[in-house]
Amino acid sequence: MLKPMSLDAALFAGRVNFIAGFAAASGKTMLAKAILALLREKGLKCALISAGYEGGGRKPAGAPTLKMPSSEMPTFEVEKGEVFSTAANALPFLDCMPELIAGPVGSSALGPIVLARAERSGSAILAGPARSEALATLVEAARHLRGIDAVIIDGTLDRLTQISVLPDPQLYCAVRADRADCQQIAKRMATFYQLVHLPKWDASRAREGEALIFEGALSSATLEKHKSARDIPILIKDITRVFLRPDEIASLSARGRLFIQQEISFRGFVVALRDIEPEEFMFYLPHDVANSILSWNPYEHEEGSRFTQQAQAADIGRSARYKRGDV
Amino acid sequence: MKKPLPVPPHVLSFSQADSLFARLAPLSPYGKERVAEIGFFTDFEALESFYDDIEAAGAALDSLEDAARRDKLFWHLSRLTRIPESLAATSGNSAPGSSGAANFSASNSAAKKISASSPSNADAWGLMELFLVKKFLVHYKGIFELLDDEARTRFGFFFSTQELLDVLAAGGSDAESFSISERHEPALAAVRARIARLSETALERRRKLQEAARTAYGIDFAGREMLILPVDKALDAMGKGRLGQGPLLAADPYDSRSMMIRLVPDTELLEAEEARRKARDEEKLLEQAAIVRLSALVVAAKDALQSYCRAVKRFDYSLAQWKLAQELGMVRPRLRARGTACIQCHGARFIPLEEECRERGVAYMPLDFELDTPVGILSGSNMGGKTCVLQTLVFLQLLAQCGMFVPAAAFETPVFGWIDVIGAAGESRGRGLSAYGFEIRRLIEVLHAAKNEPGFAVFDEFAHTTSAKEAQALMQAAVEQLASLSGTVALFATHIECSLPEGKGTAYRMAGLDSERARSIIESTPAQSERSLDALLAQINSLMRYKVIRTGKASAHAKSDALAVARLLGLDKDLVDRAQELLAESDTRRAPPAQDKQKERGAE
Repeated sequence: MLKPMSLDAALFAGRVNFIAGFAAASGKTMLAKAILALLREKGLKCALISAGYEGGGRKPAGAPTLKMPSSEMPTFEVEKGEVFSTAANALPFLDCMPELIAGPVGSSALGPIVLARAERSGSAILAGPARSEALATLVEAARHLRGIDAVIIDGTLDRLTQISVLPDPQLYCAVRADRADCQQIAKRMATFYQLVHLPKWDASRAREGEALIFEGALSSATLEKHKSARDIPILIKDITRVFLRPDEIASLSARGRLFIQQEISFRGFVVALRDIEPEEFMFYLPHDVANSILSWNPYEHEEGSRFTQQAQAADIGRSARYKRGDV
Repeated sequence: MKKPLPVPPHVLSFSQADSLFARLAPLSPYGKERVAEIGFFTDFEALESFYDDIEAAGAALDSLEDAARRDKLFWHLSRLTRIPESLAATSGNSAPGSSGAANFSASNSAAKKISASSPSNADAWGLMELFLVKKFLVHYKGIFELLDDEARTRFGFFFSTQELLDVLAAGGSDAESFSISERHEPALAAVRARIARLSETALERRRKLQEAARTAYGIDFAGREMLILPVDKALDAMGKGRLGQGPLLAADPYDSRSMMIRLVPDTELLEAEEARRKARDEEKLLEQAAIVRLSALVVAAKDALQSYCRAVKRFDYSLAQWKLAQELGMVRPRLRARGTACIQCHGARFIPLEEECRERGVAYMPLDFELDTPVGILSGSNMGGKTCVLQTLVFLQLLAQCGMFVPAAAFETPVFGWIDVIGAAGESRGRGLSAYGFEIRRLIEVLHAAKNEPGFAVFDEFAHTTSAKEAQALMQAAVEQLASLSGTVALFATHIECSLPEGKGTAYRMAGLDSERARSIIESTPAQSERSLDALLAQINSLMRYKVIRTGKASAHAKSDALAVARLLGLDKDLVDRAQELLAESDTRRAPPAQDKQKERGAE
């Protein structure tokens, strides 16, 4: 089966789209910008919301509020009529003529977060609240605005729990891999894929009887502590803190049915590769995980792209290997 | 009017009144702030004023006959924003003229001080602060317009800032949104027009460069700021660019096989961008000047804005009280003058228990009770509802003195200076005190407080952790002393026998277990222990008559039905039978012989 190798605006239009990544610099913001460009090409207007970001976005308790934006904060070129989340102290530095429409909610290093609409095209500094409730408030306000066709959330994997408070969110995972870390990334993709596809926990199960509930980090050591647990439902509360290999997850599944707190509508991976060909990368991925790759690097020039042809070849090659049981 | 006092945690925990506070749902941030300030008032006038507010809020709502207008009122309240802290000074529990402090609990006399915000520095303001003020004014005006004159006067609503609202409304594409517009600063029009032209020039130039790249190199940026190309293609395009065959490209290595390319802006684009940047600097200065001017206008209206906040706070909070009272069938308490030792309730409901009973599918009996002497002693069956009577009374008293309506058909009570609970199960102890030690400390505090001003104290199984004889003596002494204090009301729930001072105490008992039915059930269902706890509790509930009976005796003591209840809870039959035998023997030993009885009669 051949995979679609470019993103389609229809995937994102009319939806709340949450972009996660395994780490900082995994391409989340770049993917958000690419989606924005796609939607603009179709004449659609977006609301861009940050879920806070790794590094400078969170304001530690007691830390002073910044008066000016720092260079780490993601800057977007927005078009007239587009909506974005930003911080109160960033407003004087935006040249898109921001009109305030909602807030303040939550806080960031640059003060309270507000929702603004660009009254003309220009630059905007994206900032967002770290707290889930504040993010939900912003998203709720943005999605009901007249003229807004899609909401894009520049999220983080370590705060994936935020997704649980959003209205019908679609999850995308931005992945960046190179030759050195491709095997490790492939494993993380496989684990992530497995976890986001687990069934949703039904609270009545907890009342019915014994259940094994993992609240915090789930590692090989944690598993060892609970090795006697058998044939009971297992709830993994925070999938972002699972540090198990796929085979360990498989072994855990054999001991009891796994559940996650909140069902997640996962739409796929967008993978940017460096120094490694899709063929080689897909070699490390189970079939269903490979099939969930929506797109390669959206900044890859489509026409005559090495990926388009090579990925097709890879798909054929990988299928053959699966049949042989090499993978 | 005295300031409210914080509710001591042990009284709150015993009465579970916080579960009701949590159900108050004001819609505005100011109403919510008021909920957080709920405290115990000892001022008769203030409490009556709070009750009047609740009724006035209800009347204001009723005056909006049209459901759409009521919804509009709720909508405005819910959309109303909090204005910047530096402007708002809504401190206190809203009733004007508050001063002084009083002891609320015998064990907690610290009054909560509410600090007023400091005045603002308009220079520190920005777009967000002006946005908040505009949004506040829009919705405040909406509320003001919906209220009738009576409600406006009662809650202090007026609107004198139409000009300010008009000025702020000049920026923003809808009623709530805000931006600095040319109407705030006319000089902005020219600068913004220039920026628009330069933006258009830059955009057009960028489009042309992208188009040229497509034509010359077959590369389509499609709105993206950069592209990744195979090295050979990227180098080829860059070479052509250098030869003038297409636009210039800048490249960075992406990986060993591809490069990240960007269009290099040409002179025309750079000039347009630089001119735009300069125009933007001009615009920024003009915007800042407009913000400072607008901020000054807002600060000038500070007094009015503070009054608006106070009015909203009082009205929204009272409206939430009214809605809760409607939802739970609550009535206005009738307050008696301070120092009157008389509490009377009819159809009183302890909401947390009533809801728990509903959830468990068991019947709940509202409480009818009257205590018109300084001391009351309530005895009766185990699990017969003695503690619930205390909880209900503390619950109602607390609500009434927090300025709330109460869940009852009628509730009449004095305004007490303090309220305390002694011996409540589960109360956290400290400082190395045992349960008994803790009770004694509380008793000392209660007696001390009662000497200063009248209060209400309930004793739940007082001294039950010490020997029966000594407990009886201690309780008797405590009862006598409390009965001698003017205005304080003390109610004991106990199994300890106690004599009541003439005219100063009343004995009550719970109607308790329906012994006949209980016996028949115990005999017909031998395997009680095999039943679930829920089933056993439901059974006990059906056998108990949760009713307070005034016995009128000078001595308070009623049987506890402890053995029957133990059997109903599933305790082994043999064990209970043996206990019954021992009890019978003990009763026989205690009963005076027939000869002695005759002697006693002769002597009389």
